[in-house]
Amino acid sequence: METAFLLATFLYPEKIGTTPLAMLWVLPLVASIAIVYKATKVDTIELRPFAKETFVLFGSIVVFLGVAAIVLCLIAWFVNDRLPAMLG
Amino acid sequence: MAQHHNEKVVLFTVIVGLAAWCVPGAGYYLLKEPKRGALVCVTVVLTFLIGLSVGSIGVIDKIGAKPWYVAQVMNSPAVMLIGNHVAQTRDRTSPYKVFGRQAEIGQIYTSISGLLNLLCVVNAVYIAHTRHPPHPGD
Repeated sequence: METAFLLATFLYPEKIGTTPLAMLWVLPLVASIAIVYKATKVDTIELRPFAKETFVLFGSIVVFLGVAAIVLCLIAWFVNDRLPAMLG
Repeated sequence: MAQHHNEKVVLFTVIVGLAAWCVPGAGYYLLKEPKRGALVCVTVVLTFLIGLSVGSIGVIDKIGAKPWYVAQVMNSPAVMLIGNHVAQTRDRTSPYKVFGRQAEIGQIYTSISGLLNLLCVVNAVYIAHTRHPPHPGD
């Protein structure tokens, strides 16, 4: 029964709506990227320094994504709302 | 003697690369770095499984999404088995069709995990090569 349930999770997709909350799916992916990238870069894997370096990279990526999202929103707002008004 | 050494170095490097591709993190195990190997293995496999769980095995579409499939195969050759199974059912009722946001997220997760494993394969091969350099002049 449990095996069938486990298999079913890979045979049928989850339901994920097109909502702002769906953007949070980026966080586990960024965590994976940060962990694997740092695992290839550090000389030795020790819990504290590794966790610190990974967290810094994770934070940097998330902040950069946030800044990129804000810049893109501003450009979209300018092109859609302000530019037509300026051109009359 | 030097040629024999170089042959062994090349063979070891190829074995490390193949092992790293077949099982994420296995290349680091062969290089006697079990912590790094375990970390890479857990992270890459978990990311891939999250992608499959979200989008189902239908996101591994070697006919309709070839560029994504190339990245997904970097996870392991075993992904080709899933790809073949999905491709065989494509023309019939196709129970694995997936659309929308879940398809996007599943595809991105499985492809990114494949590219992360590719990074680890290249890194493991590089470490194997630098630890056992071939004799110069051969």
